Amino acid sequence: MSTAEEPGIITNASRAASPAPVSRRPAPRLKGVVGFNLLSAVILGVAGYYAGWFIGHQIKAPTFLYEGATDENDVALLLGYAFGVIGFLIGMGFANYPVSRLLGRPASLREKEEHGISRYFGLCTDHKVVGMQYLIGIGLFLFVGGANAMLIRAELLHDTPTILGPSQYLTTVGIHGSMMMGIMTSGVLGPFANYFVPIMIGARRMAFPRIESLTFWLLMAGGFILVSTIFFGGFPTGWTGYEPLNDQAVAGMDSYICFFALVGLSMMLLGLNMIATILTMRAPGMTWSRLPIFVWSVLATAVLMVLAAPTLIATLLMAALDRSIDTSFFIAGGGGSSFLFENLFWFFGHPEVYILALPGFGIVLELLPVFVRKPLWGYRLAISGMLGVSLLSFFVWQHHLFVSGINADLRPFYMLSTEIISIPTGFIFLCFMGTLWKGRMSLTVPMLFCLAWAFNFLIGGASGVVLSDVATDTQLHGSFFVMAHFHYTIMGGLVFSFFGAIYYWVPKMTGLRFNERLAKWHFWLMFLSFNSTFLPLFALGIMGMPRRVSSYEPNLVPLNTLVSISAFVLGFSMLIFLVNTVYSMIFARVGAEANPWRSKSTEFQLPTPVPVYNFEQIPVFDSDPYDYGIPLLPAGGGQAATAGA
Amino acid sequence: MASASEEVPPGPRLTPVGRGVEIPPEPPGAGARALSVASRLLCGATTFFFLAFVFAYFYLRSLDQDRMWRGAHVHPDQALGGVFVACIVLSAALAIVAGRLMKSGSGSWLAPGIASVVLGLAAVAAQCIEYTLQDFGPTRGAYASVFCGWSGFYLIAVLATMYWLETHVATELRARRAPASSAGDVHEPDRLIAPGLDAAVFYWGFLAAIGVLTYVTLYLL
Repeated sequence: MSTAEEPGIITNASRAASPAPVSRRPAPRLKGVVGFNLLSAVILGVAGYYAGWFIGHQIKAPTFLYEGATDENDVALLLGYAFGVIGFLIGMGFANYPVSRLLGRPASLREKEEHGISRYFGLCTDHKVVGMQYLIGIGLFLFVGGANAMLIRAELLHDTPTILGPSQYLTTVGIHGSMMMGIMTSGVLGPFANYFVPIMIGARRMAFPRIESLTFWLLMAGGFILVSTIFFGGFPTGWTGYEPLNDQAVAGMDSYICFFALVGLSMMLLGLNMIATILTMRAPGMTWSRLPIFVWSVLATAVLMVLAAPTLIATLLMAALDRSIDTSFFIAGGGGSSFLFENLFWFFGHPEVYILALPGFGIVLELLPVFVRKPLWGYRLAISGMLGVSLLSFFVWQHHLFVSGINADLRPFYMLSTEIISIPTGFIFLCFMGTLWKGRMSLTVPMLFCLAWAFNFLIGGASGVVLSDVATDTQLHGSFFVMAHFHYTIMGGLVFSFFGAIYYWVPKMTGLRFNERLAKWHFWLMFLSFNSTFLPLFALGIMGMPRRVSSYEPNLVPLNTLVSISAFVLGFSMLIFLVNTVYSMIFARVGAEANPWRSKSTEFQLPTPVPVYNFEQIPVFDSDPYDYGIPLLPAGGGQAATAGA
Repeated sequence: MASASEEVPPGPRLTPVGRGVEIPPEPPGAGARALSVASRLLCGATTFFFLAFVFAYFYLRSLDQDRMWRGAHVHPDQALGGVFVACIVLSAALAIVAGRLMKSGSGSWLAPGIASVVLGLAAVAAQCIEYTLQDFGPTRGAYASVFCGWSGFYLIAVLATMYWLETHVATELRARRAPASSAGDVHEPDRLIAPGLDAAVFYWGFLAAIGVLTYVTLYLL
């Protein structure tokens, strides 16, 4: 099978008549080892790290006596990470295309699209492979982040430090927060949007397939860099990286900076690719009013990614310069200001919250019509809600700085803008309720997760409105109340919808069914333990329990014990999911139907697994995606048509 | 779950790809549209990247922490900065000319294209010379930090854009030098180059505008 090539290039098909060239490929045994793959990438990544480390030492302190003290030389570590990532990407094969273009040799659009299992461990331009790569990769780092959460709760069983020292505790909190906030920015767009958006809009590929693959490998490189912080003393700032702690911290802080900069780069490119794909590659008939609501949510998220992530990258580069070459962007002693960091960080950080939440909205509204068998209520209202959230999220960032000495005259504006953002969010709830109304609901596992999303996100959203009030925020800032709020929005909102999406779409992606009994156990344990973990945190916050401190008042021990036990049950529910995944995907291997949910969505009209190029002919869309319960039109509508028709 | 009598089959009817089926090429405009959109989005991303430096400039300047915003001898060379920005503006103008010639179907776009790349690289060289000649480093207060950070990352953006323009020049040169014969060779260079060149020229024009803003803010204000 051949594929579309860039116009103007001679294709393999067009030279089929010419004799085949003699190939000098390696022997079959070495075929999978030699070349551009994960093994080469790791080798070149390690070599690159040591090259950068050595150069850094030569620049900063060219003496052999100093070379062991990496924790005192940020230049060496930052260059090590930079060169390591470059080496890793070269090993993967990401430099081949740019070098070809530099020499005037345009490459084709295809790369490792039709090979076997090895395509999952390298640069692959098939959007479905990248989607699967993301699912596994993100799952791996979610596990690391979750394991850190268990450590935190184990430490908080006592009111004085027991398992971890204070700095180890802060590092654990920092890794947990950064991992969850950083990696999960692509939690939905990575696996599900990459896999399904092209199919949903009737395209054969993403607009920029290599960039699509690059975003994944950048994220993975970032994840490993963050974990490596434990070798360099960790970092004390939590996920926000606040100055002046950032500048004062040991070399482990550089891992945080590199990690988030790579996440920002990956996020920006992912968003750019998504927008370009949705804007330019829709099939005939896929008008804006027929675009699936999930695709709309991806579009709204992608806009935030493209615009907010560059500010994060710039901020982290400034921090890296402060730490390495002693500039003074954020150092008061040199004319800088730590408040500059706080402002710039939250200019990214608050849209980041919606980068996490918006795809969850899209998943829930996408799944709901399927399981209540009626059209999505308020389709246009839902779109305006998502776009409204997306726009307003740039005007609320200073509510994070209410207690940081900002001009008091600014506070009412940011309080109001934060409260106003609850209106478009309310639109989403309205559409949720309207769609449920008089529907024939079936309580499948994905539907259960959708219902749980509504319950959790309502609590998270309502507590957010409470916190937007200046007087309340002044009292509760830095307490467990804030922590409960954002866990309800992000875990309750995003992670629950993420699991809903897993149970809904993974059977399509893998062709295998989950064990339903285990899945229901997973849901009920997760839902109940999630609420018994985070609901008491509101009370703890009001009672004065501070964040990021492992010592607390003895009268808070009983509630903390309850929270910790609940958190362990929550962790256990994740193990059930893991067991279910291993059992269903490796041992039981019960085949899934092509359309197990009787969905009208495009992806479920294709065979399982979805073919490499999705469609033989580009489809023509002539109906709305959610017209469940509407009588069928006479035969003839919705037929496939020829490309470009 | 839905009743058995409900609409079957649901959704649009689609024909899956069979084995060995030749997939027709994409419509020629698809890649061009994607590149065009991407260049506009890249402009948005670039704006927000440099907006962080603009914010830092005005924030730290208005704060003037301990009067350490700008030391007594911290003044970049306006003449060398002027050469830098003039090279950039001229390079962008030539790139626009090249883009228009390409759109009109003229093969003479190559000369202004090459000149644009050369001038862009000359701008980079001018800025590097300025770094070596200026009598302050990045540690000399907040202004010096913003100056070095902002101009340094702008320089990297210029280099990356020069690479982008160069790929089109190189493709054209290669196609003119050797006719296409094997898979992967270019046999219709204009069809391949036009959308990419259009996107690169748009981005370069935008980046040049940021360059002018950079000059005004860092050198003249």
